[in-house]
This record gives sequence, structure tokens and C-alpha cells, in this order.
Amino acid sequence: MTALSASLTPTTTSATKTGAQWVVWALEQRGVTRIFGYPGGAVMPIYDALVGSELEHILVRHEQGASFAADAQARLTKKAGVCLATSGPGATNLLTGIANAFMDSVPMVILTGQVPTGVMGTDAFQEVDIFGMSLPVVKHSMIVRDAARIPQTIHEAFDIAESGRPGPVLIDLPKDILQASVATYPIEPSHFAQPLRAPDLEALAEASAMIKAARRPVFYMGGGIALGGAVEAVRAFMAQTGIPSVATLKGLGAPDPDAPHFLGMLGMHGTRAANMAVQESDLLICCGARFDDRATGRLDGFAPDARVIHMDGDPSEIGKLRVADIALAGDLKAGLKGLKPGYLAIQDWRQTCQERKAKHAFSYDAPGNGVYAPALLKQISEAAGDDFIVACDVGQHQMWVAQHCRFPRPEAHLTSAGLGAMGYGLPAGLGAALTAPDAKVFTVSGDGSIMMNIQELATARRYNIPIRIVLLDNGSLGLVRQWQEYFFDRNFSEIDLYDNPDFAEVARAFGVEAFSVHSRDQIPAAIERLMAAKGPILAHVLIDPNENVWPLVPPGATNTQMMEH
Amino acid sequence: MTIIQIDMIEREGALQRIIGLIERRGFSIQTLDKSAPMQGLTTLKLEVAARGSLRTVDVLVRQIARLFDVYAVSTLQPMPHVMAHQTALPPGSLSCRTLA
Ligand SMILES: Cc1ncc(C[n+]2csc(CCOP(=O)(O)OP(=O)(O)O)c2C)c(N)n1
Repeated sequence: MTALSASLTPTTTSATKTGAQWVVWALEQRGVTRIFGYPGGAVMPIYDALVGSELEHILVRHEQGASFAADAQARLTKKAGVCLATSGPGATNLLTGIANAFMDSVPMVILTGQVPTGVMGTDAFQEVDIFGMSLPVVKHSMIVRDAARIPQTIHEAFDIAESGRPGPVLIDLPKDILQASVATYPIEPSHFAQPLRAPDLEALAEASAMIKAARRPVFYMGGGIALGGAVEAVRAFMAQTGIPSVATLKGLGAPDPDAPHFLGMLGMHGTRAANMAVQESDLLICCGARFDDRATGRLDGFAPDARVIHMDGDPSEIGKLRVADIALAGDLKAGLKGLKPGYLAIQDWRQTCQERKAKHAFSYDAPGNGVYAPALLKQISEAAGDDFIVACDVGQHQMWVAQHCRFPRPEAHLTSAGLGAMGYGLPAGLGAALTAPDAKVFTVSGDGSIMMNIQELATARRYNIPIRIVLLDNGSLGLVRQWQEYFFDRNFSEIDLYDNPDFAEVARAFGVEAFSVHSRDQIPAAIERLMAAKGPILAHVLIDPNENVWPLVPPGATNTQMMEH
Repeated sequence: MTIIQIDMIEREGALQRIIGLIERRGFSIQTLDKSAPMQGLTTLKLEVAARGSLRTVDVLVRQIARLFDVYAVSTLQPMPHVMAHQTALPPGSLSCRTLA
């Protein structure tokens, strides 16, 4: 027997339990205290084993809610969130959440029930090949075919999900495996955890020299900074170098929001100061970002004069979309600490960027007495201060949150960035509020998005979760409407939600406190009421149905071509 | 056209995962040669062609190396050898072969 296979067959040593009891045991061993799930035939053995266990199970009302709630918990704790669903429809209902975690590199362990091994592949009742269906959107996945392997498999799944570039790991558990009574092997340290590479010293020296020589450098920050635990290193680098900096949607919160040379978000809805700085730069120092098309606009016109230093924890991101002049794969913290460009003679460049930042700062003095959503969001985040956490849905409101809220740290901003999945906001807010009970957790949603997972109001009520839902109601699928207005000749198609229910009534029917806000003068009292809430609360806020998100880089344009209104 | 050689760890779904990734990342597989499993490893040799100009084999190789079912991956000419998850195997159980 080879070393490879020998390592898989040690002798059993433990007491006997059912596979399902081993699942619960292994989760507890791993330090899991809460899972999100929904029962059904194939996972009934696990639900049986949960009774009397130490694990807190949060019963959601749709499996997608379980996946998004687990995702939010993971974003806050950096430990894999766990969700559980039955085979067939339970498993397929998780898919959007799995894809979301994959796109945003969120550690997650997904447990799905499966039909018994004997009937797998026969189109048995509630059989779907969730292993096959999820392959493109998991970091790894496994089907357990030996109950004695359950603890080791779960242990390895967590190692894979949490190490290196995090991501979702799916474990498919056939029912007969969950029901088998077995002794199991002691858990061995897995060989799956991926240590971070140290950055290449020669490349670091070259990068330092390149920064020193640059006249118009820009520091371009992405979500990898938070994943790599490099927030402090980033802030130190920014303070030391004073290089004008921009962030992607997922990079927000990495820089100190009050840092003088931070110019805001770049890209489609980025600030003029950020986009112009990038476009004019002669050196882009890309840190944990991946040249996503929403950030770059037309790729061949993105930062056309810039050389690129690309730092990323995942080597396969480097050179994927933009050639890197210097590649720094590996530990971002060590990489940033190793950059020592010394004094930078870029005073003029800093000043140019500063002037643009001041000149094009957002203004909040919209006329009239209607609620101006950007101003409301700004006020909310300022009221919550360092305790602020927001989970967004997808649409105009999501972009307003990114543009106008203040994020003291990356974890304050939970957003479905890569996938852009409407329906994320409410369940993610629940996951966040359960995980950080002392924070001021908000969900900001739209009248379209909230309906994607409105059933989770029942979860909020059941567990009395202190989630403050700010529902910005413009009576339409606003972001789609905006695109139809500007890029489809105002040929409005299927965006009108004129017959929305009364959302405050809906919330109350779920047993959730709710109130409506119609005008600007009601805002101070509304914020006070939201902040003071001890359980779930929903503010139904009516906003101008014609308000749009500005600036906007049209699709296919370069980032210099920003429309302002 | 490039030839990619992969030492794949024999696990359920491994072949599907690798082939799916190559297709999804914008390459078509022209030929595919799979050895019988030996000591838990299988060697795959694939000739791949990019579907668009944006796609580089260099990035594809690093994306393949990311998979946990991949022990080693290289292009036969003239790409540098990329080690995948050396740690996926118990240390010392197999030395990594240089395939180029
Ligand atoms: C699940 C899903 N379906 C469709 C879309 C496409 N989409 C993006 S934004 C949007 C409109 C969102 O409307 P609403 O939640 O009311 O937010 P608003 O833009 O009005 O702020 C749609 C349909 C999506 N992102 N996700």
C-alpha cells in the first residue's frame, strides 16, 4: 500500500455513533456554535442528531436564506459559515448562496443531504447531482461514501474553506451514510490548509524602486486585503507613502475612511477623483483586487499609461486580465511591509488628486422635502459610527450605500459584490446581527430585492434578531430602470412595481415592528427609532422614483467617460 | 495549441472538475489522454486551444494548480513547472516529478 492510500485507512479507535451524530460531533469539535438550515427527508438523521446537541440551529424559511446568513457570519468571523439543506430542492435552493460565496471568496461549509448511495444515479425521489451542479462555484467538494470518514472530511472541508483564498466547500451526505453506525478514526491534521507564500524579495525590491520612480502612482485596493488580514498593513502603507488611493466595492473599509489621500471607489459608479487618478496614473499598485470589469470599465482603456504592480494572495489572479509588470503573489501583509520606496516626490500629483476630490465631492443638498436616499444613508452610517454594519441588497440602493456610507472596517460592508445577488440583504443582515449582537446592524434593501427573501422576516421575528431594515422604495427595479433610461432609449420594460404591497403592513403581519417615512423632516426621529431597536424593525422609506446613481460610466466606455446626471 | 500535463489525485469528481475548469475558463480540449490510476495518481495529457485572445495558458495552468485534486501541472513546452498542492499528500509520500 502506498503512503497515499495508507494514510486513508488507519484503524478505528472510537466509540460507535451514527454518521449523522458524527457530523454534529465534528462540527462541535471544529468550534462551530451556529448553523443555518432547513430540514427534509435526506437530512432527517442530522436533524435527529441536532436535538440535544450544543449547536444552535437557525431555522430559515428558504434555503437561500441559510446560505446568505452563513455567508455573512463568515465575512464577520473569518471562520467558515455552515449551512445545511436536504437533497434535491433543498440543495438547489442553496446554489445561489454557494455561487455568492465563491465569487466573493467567503469561507463556507455547505452540508447537503443526498439520497442513499444504493439509489444514487437512478433519478430517485429528490435526487439531484448537487456535487456536479455546484462544481463551477465551489472551492472544493466531496461526497462521503464511508461514514467513518465523516469527521476527517468535515475537518478537511473547514481547512480548505478557511485557508489560502477562502471559498465554499460542499459536502454531500447520502442518507444511508448518515444512518450507518460506525466507529471512526481519530482526526488527523489535514494536509489541505494552504500556508500563505512569502513574497519574493527581489520582486519587492524592484517594486519599491518602481514606486520611487513613479510620478503619478495610485494604490488600488480590493477585497483581498480583508481576506488576507492586511487592513492594518494597508493603512500603514497609505500613511507612510501618501499615495493617492482608490478602492473597489469590496475594498471599501480597508482604508481608513478619513484618510486624506483616499479618493473613494473606482469604476462604474466610482468617484470622479478616483477614476481620473487611475486613468492618469503611471503606476498602479494593485493590492488584493482582480481588475473586475465593474471596476475597470473598458479594459483596454483602463489606466492606459500605467505600469502595474499586482499583489494578490491567489497567484492565479495575477495576469488574468491585465499584465503585471511586477507580480507579488502571496502574503499581502508581508508584501506591504516589504515595500520601502522611501521619500516620494509626488507632491503635485497628490495635490491634483486632492483638488479633484474636493471639487467633485458628493453634495447632499437635494431640493425639496422628499427623502434623498444618499443623504439618509450617510446619516445612518454616521449615527452608527464604528458600530455600523450594513448588509445590502442589489441595485441603486447598493451603490448609494457604497458611495455614501462610512465604513470603519471592511466587515462593516456586507455586499453581494461578485455575484450581485438580489435577496442577499435580509438574510445576510440576520446572519450579521446574530454574529455581532452588539453592533448596529442594518439591512438596506430595495422594493424589488426585499421580495426575493421577504420570508426571512419570519426568522427575524422567531429569534428576535435586532436587524434594522431600511427599505428604499422607489416603486421600481431602479437600477434596471436607470439603464433603460440611458442605454435603451427610455424603452421601459418590466421595471414598474406600482402594485407593491404596503411593506410596513407586510412586516407587521410577520410580527416585525415597522413604520413609514415619507419626508425629510421625519428622518431624525426615524434614525433614532432604528438605532434604539432591540428586535427586528423595518423602516419603509419612500424615495423619488426618478432618482439615479451618479456618476455612471456607461457600459463599454472607459472610466474617463463619466456621466454626472 | 498547448499540451498540459496534470498529475491528478484520484478522487470522486476529479476528472470532471478539471475538464470543467478548462472549458469554463475559455479553452477547448482537442485531445485527452488519461492513464490508469497508479498509487492514487492519474496522469492526464491534454491538448488545449484558447477560445479567445484574452486567454493565456499561463493563467489557466495556475487556475488548474489551485484545484485540490491536482498534484502537479505543467505545460510540456515551454511553460515553467507549477507545483500545485504539494501539501495535499502526506509529506514525503511522493516526490514531485518534473514533467517538462
Ligand atoms: C437575483 C437577481 N435577479 C435580477 C438581478 C438584476 N437586477 C439588478 S439590480 C435590479 C433592480 C433592483 O431593484 P430594487 O431592489 O428595487 O433596487 P433599486 O435599484 O430600485 O434600488 C435587478 C432586477 C439581480 N441582480 N439579481
